[in-house]
Amino acid sequence: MNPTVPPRWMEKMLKSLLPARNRDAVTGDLHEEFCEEKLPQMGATRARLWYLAHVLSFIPQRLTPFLSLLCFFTLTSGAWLGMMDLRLRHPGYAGRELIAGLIVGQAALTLTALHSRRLSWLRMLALVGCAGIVWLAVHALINTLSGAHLEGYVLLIAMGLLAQAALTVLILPGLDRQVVRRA
Amino acid sequence: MHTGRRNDEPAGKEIMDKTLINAYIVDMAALLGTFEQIVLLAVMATGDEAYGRAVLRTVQACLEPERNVSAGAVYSTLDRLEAEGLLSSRLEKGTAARGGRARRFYRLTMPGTSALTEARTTLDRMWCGASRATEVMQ
Repeated sequence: MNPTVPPRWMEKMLKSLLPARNRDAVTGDLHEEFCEEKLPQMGATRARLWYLAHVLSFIPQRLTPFLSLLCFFTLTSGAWLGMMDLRLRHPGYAGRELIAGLIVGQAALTLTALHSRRLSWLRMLALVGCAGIVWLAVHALINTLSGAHLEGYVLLIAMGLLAQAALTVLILPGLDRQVVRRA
Repeated sequence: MHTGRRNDEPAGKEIMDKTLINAYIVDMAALLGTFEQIVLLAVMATGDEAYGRAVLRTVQACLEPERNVSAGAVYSTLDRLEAEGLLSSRLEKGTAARGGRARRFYRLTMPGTSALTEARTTLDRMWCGASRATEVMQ
């Protein structure tokens, strides 16, 4: 390993997180800062940690499309569940309508918070809503797995909700809090 | 006519209310966020040398020393501002110090300058109203 340049694996990771348009410019900028400033100032280990921290800061940006996709999936699934229950009207359908409404609402809220980056109160609301969808998903998973017959679509939606909550918690605070975070 | 103000309320509150209303008449969604303003000002301050690293360093230098700015945040903000037409960019050949990789230089566009001016005017108006209200209340 050459100690005077950023580790190769970190550079590869950085490249994989960047859009093709910015790949050269950003890796070049960080390479320059690493070699000219950080390495002489901080020494090899701390300079590498500095580099890694900046590489990791590109993760939220990279995962945003996946979160959008997941929200779209849960929104569609929630709407479908709601419509089916409304049509079939099995006993207890009102409760399931409420659950479908919560799923659709949370997905719509997260999508809006993700794309209207200047409305920080929406981000807060979406983060609070994550607790709700995690509770729903866990409840659905337990009921489905302990039930007499396995309902695949409930399992799929519950997994989708858990993944949505995890990505929301990972990405949304990054949109403003990690922008300028305390050292 | 009912003004919405109780007799025992200080006049400063009315001044503050009017100032707030005037300030919020502008489209709030179109106003720049604080970090976006910082990045645009850093591009403006760096002038002809405004490439990613220089902007990152300028932003870092302007903030309190205990705050760290992440590269991801600066570059994603630069990208977003460029997509919104507030910045323009061009690629130039890289030096040996950066392994020959290209540099992307940024420049403020006319809409970018207008957005910054608008954000400043709104904030100035808010500060002016706040200090006038405080003076009257005192």
